[in-house]
This record gives sequence, C-alpha cells and structure tokens, in this order.
Amino acid sequence: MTPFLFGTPERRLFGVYHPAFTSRATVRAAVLCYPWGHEYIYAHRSMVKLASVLAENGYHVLRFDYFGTGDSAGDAVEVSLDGCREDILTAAEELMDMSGGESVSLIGLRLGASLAAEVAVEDRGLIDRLVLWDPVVCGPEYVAALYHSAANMPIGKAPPPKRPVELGGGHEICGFPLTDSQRDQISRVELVPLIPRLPRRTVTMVTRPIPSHEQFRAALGDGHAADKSFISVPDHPAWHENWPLDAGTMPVDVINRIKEWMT
Amino acid sequence: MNPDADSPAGNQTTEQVVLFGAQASLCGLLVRPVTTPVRPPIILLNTGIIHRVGHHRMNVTIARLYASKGHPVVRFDFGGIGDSPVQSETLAPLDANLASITDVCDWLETNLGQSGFILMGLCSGADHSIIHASRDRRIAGVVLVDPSIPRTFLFFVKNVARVLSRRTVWVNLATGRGNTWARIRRLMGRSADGSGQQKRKEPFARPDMENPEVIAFLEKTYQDAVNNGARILAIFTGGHDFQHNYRRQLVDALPRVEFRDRLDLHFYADCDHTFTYERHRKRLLVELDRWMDKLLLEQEKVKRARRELG
Repeated sequence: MTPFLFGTPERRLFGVYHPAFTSRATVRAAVLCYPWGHEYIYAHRSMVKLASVLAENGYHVLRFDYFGTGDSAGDAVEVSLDGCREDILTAAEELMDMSGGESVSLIGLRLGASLAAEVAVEDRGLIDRLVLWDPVVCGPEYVAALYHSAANMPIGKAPPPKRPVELGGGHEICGFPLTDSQRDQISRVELVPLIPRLPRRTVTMVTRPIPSHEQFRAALGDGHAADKSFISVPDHPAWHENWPLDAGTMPVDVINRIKEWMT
Repeated sequence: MNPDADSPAGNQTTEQVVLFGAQASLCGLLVRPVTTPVRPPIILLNTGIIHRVGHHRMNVTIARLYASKGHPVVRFDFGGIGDSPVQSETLAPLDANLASITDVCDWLETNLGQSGFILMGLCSGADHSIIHASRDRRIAGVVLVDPSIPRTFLFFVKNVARVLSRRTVWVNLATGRGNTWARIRRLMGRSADGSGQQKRKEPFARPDMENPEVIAFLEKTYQDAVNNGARILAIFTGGHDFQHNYRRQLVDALPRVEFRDRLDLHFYADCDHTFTYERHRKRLLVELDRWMDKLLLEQEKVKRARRELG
C-alpha cells in the first residue's frame, strides 16, 4: 500500500492506495468512504482489512480521510457534508488516474455510506457499484444515536458537554466536536428518497439493524429483489467498540460478504 | 500521485508522508515549520491498537500545534497497526517497535540533522517511550501519559476508601447484591452460574506489575532513562484508577529510582484515560507547554555552558 497526499493545496487530503494484486482485462477500482468521528477511529482497522482483501481480489483501492478528519488537513469543526462529497469525487478521480479505470465503485460505512449514496445519485456515470455498509438512512435518527452514545460512554453517564458558540457551538460527541451546523447538515440526510436513483448494482449490508434500515428495506420494493440488495450479516459492528470487551475485533464475515459481492 | 507532496497544516507548517524503516514501510507523517526547525523533534507513538491519528484525533492536534511552535513532529504507526505492515516475523512486538522508534530517530537525524528527541505516548505508547529512552542517549525527554506502574500499599488504602465511599456498595451489602455477595456465594458453592469462576470486573488491572522482577525492570528502565539525560513528564489520569490513583504513586512504586530533578508528576483525577473531553485535552496541552519551556531552557543553558567552555 502507498500512503500519499493529494487534492489541492487548500484542501489537502491523505489517502492510502492499495494496488490490485492481479491485473484484469477491465480495471476495477473502489474508493472506501469512512464513517464520522469516533466511529472512524474504531472502523479504521476494518477498512484497512477490507482494502487489502479487495486488492488481493483484483481491485485497485483508495482509502482516504475527508478534509478535517484523520491525517488530512483541516480541523474537525471544518468538516461539512458538501465538502466530504467533494472529497469523495476528488478521491474517485485520483484513483481513476492511478489505476487507469474509467469508473469506480464506492463502499461506505455508516455516514460514509450515506455520502457515497449521495455522490452516486449525482454522478451515475462515474459509479460502477455501490456498497452501503450499516448506512445512516435517516439523519435525525443518527444524530439522536450520536447524542445517546455521547451521554452513555464507558467513562460515565453524563450529557455531552456544550461547545462555545464562538467555536461553532454544538456539543462534544465521544471526543469529537459536532457543531450546530454539522448537526443540521447530518439531520438532513435521508436515503429512502434516493433509492430510485441509486446505481443498478447497489447492495446494503447491515450488521446491526436499526428502525430506519427496515424502512429502507421496505422502500426497496419487491421482496425478491430486496433479498438480493439488502443483506443482513450478523457480525461485530466495525464502527463500534464496547471497550474493553471487544477492542480490536474484526468483522470478518461482513468483509468477506462485501468481497464476494464485489467479485 | 506524489507521496512526498507538502501539505499546509495552517500557514506556518508543512506536512509530508514519510515511510520509515529498513523496508521503508512504516507509515508516518512529518509535520514541521516552514522555516528551519529550531526546536527538538517530537515523536508521537501509537496508543494500543489505535492508528497514529490518536483517540479523538489528539495526536494530529498535538503534532500541528508543536510544529507551529518550531518542532518537527512525527506521527507514525508501529508494524501491524494502522497503515504499517508487520515489520518482523522473528522479533517480539516490543522489540520490533523499539527498533522502529530507532529507525524514526535515525531518519530524523540523517534528514533534518537534529537529535535530542522527545518521545510522547499514552498507555502502551508511554511504556514504549520510557523503555526506549533507557536505551537511547539521543532522547532528551519523554512525555508519559498513564504508563504502566505497580500498585502500592497507599494505592490499596485509597482504593478501599474510594469503594467504601460509594453509596451503591452499602446498598448492595444490605440487600445481598453486588460483587462481595457474589464472591461469598461462590466460596460457599452457591454460585448462580455454577462455574465457580470469579468474573474479573477490572480486566486491565495488572497484579503482575507487583512482581519483584517487574519492579526491578521498571526501576532500571526509569533510572537508565534519567541517567541518559532524559527529562520525564508523567501524567496519570483517574481513568485508570484500577492501576494508579494518586500523584506520587510512580515514586512510591519504584523507590530505588533517583529521579533527581528530572521528573514532573501530575495526576488528573477527573480525566479519563484517553482525554475524551476537550477541556482535559486543553489542560494536557498547557502542562505540555510548561514542561517544554523548562526543557528548552535547560537545553539552552547547556549550550551556553558549552560555548563558554569553548
């Protein structure tokens, strides 16, 4: 794998390129879209594993950090969903340059899945396959879950601390700022209306079902088709850590299911 | 694609990806001031299995802040963590990681012409820092956050007092619930699960740390680090109160170490192990600034004395 910086000087992004182990007649490429905040920290090792598995199976893979997250430039309060979507497109173009491919697949986890879906419906010609892994289907539900997590951390039960207005306001969520603006943007996420415009080859994989997943499944329509495009994989949620009981647990089953579906 | 592209992290610093080590595969980021760095390099180490970004992206914040103050700062992943592949099939993880720290120090010395490194780590990162400082004279300072230390007599006294101050303990005692009664029932062979196995409530408490051999190892490690000239900033949090619970525990636990004036000790009772809250991270940075100023002043004195001696 090759770690590198890309993007523009104003919006420098960090990415890791996993070249395909085997060459194919048709180049296959996939961009992995991380979740947000503390979920990104926990999910990192699973995404590394997924990238390696896909590379072993003939995919050129790019993992990258959105602006304001991970190793990319910017501060956590500067993260915006518009910016993240722009970063996904930048990463997709970068990967096509590197791999020689003419399209890419997107694999997103949690909020990364929602962002990937939004990009996919806007740039249908660019996106080959789409994997929604434990997607955030309904923004308000996700925001409520974030606040619940922040109020019930292993370190104790306490309401999430408020942040100063001059620093963007909002609250601290499990060690990360969630400004008022970011909360409002996330609250507007709705995947169900996007279903008719999603790429033909789209799959949803769910390890930990939540109420909105059932709504999403129902919205997919015909039961037989839904069975193929909405798959329940009982496994450890990559984005969650019940410290110290399952620290470092790798969701092998869902990673393998994604690999099988992609190949 | 340009692996060595510089990246602005603020206006005063640049960042670049560096692959360290003999196989050029240890993934790291070097952030440094745009101007020639004048302050000692800082190396941030992994915490457990969390990659170099750190819990709550804390390592990124620290790296960019100190680079803006004139330090070159490296964040990198040990082999098998984050984006670095396993470095050795034969070395034990600790030895492989210590070798990796040496690789990073060598790279900085060769490429930036600087030495007098500061190692910084939380939990396992702190343990790696102090052990490396005991073996490498190039380490000017170590910042240890929640390093592994033995429990002491005073620890147990305070721990019992802490437990007895909890209302739930007395309520459980009166109502036949809780750990104490469960233990009694197990001893009497009336355990509900019938396994007779005592469940450990504190999976990370480490009684092995009280083994005389371990204490001797730690005493030698800390003493060698001090003798090598390293300054130590040790910060303990209440988040690991199953292992340490008062400020001077390090000194009490390792009584044969002569720290002289090389040790700065702090205990943040209300802070969790990974500094989840912004106010705790701010407090850590203030402490770090104070300690760094002290270290830089000392280095300046040494330089002046050398100049006067000719």
